[in-house]
Amino acid sequence: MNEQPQDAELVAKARRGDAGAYGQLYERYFDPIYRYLRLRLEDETDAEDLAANVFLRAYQSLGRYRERGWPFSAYLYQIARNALADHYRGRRSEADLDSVPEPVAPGPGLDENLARDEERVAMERVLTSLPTDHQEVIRLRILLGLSTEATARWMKRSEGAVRVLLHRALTGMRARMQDRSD
Amino acid sequence: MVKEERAEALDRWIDQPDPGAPGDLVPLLDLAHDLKRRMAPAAATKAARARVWARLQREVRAARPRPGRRSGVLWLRPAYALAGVALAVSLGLGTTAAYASEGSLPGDLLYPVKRGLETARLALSPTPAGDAALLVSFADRRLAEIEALTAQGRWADVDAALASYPDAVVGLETADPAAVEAQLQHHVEVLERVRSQVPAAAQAGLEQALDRADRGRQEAKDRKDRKPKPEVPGRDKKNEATPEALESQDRHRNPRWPGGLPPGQQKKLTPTP
Repeated sequence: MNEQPQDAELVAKARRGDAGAYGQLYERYFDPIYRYLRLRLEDETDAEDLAANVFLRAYQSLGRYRERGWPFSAYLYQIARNALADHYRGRRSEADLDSVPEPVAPGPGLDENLARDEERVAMERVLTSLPTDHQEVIRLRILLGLSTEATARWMKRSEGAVRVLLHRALTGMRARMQDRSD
Repeated sequence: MVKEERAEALDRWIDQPDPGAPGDLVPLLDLAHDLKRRMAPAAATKAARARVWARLQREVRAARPRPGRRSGVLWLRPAYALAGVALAVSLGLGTTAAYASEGSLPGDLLYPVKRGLETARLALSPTPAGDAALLVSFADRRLAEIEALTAQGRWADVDAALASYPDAVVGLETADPAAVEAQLQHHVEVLERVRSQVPAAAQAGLEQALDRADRGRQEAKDRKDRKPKPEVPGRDKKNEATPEALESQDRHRNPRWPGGLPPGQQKKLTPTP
């Protein structure tokens, strides 16, 4: 994850109606935002819908965005979280923002895949049972592979706080996984 | 209470996996590795990126008021475009500015003058044939603008030019289908060449332009195959393709207005008695 200084320049150009500048921001941040949404949504089409929604909302609210140490990617992340909340509300899902949908079962006869899928589901369930900030630090730092610096900016915390949070989150998750296997 | 040093060490080892990690961190590092292996989402595909970008562009365009229906923006109406050009001339920009604007490109200062003059020419054209010939030449101009902007690497402006291209093709529905088919075949070839040069961010716009050109070509072919080419009495084949020739030939006839004009190029008509 690279928070390049010229984001502010691109945002300023995009505000003046420069679609190419916004295209560059899109190129830069589509992947992490889309992957974050894929983490939270089972359906690929839903993830694309929400990704379009996130970048549209960001484009429409460029005038309100002020950097001040809060990078554009963190702004997108916040919009993505809000979009997810709206998505779940709209669908009247029984799940809340921090729950996980049931995975699609693999085809019959694929024992190995089935076992792997069950392990993944078990892992997801434990992850979603953690406190929200523990879930998020694991998603951003481990699953998306963001740097500590980027994770800190997205979560609006210091890098030291993110390191401590990650340690606690992994320790908590490991304990819960051990409890399940006992 | 987690000690900061321990948390820092874990953070460091996550980024640099190594069998030499301290023993007490190994279970947490194994868990982090396992999480990543089983649950990390794959990178977005190029197709997904392009689909979302295309959709985003559509939604941004849909959210904008359409120029032809924008009651509050007076300069986009033909009558006001004429007045604007006249005003610009009278204010000292003069005919030189109007002439200079002919070579301008989207994003240039004089480009709105160029488009205003086009709208004015269309407003002054008294016949459908004259309108059609003008629209054919305007579509070629839009293509030439895309080419020129691409050659200059002005990607933001290329994006804007690509976005306005489909409207230019819509106007060709009233022109001679055989000529339009050949013209759009050429457009497709040019856009294919441009495709290899534009950055990824402009690819979605380019695909839409290509799709529109190809669809327009196919529609023209269908129109051509459906019925014979209409005869224009008195048409001089030598001057057939020039807007001026068609305008001259048709000037004496009653004006009729063709449908399907692109936004921003509609004009009001005085009803024919």
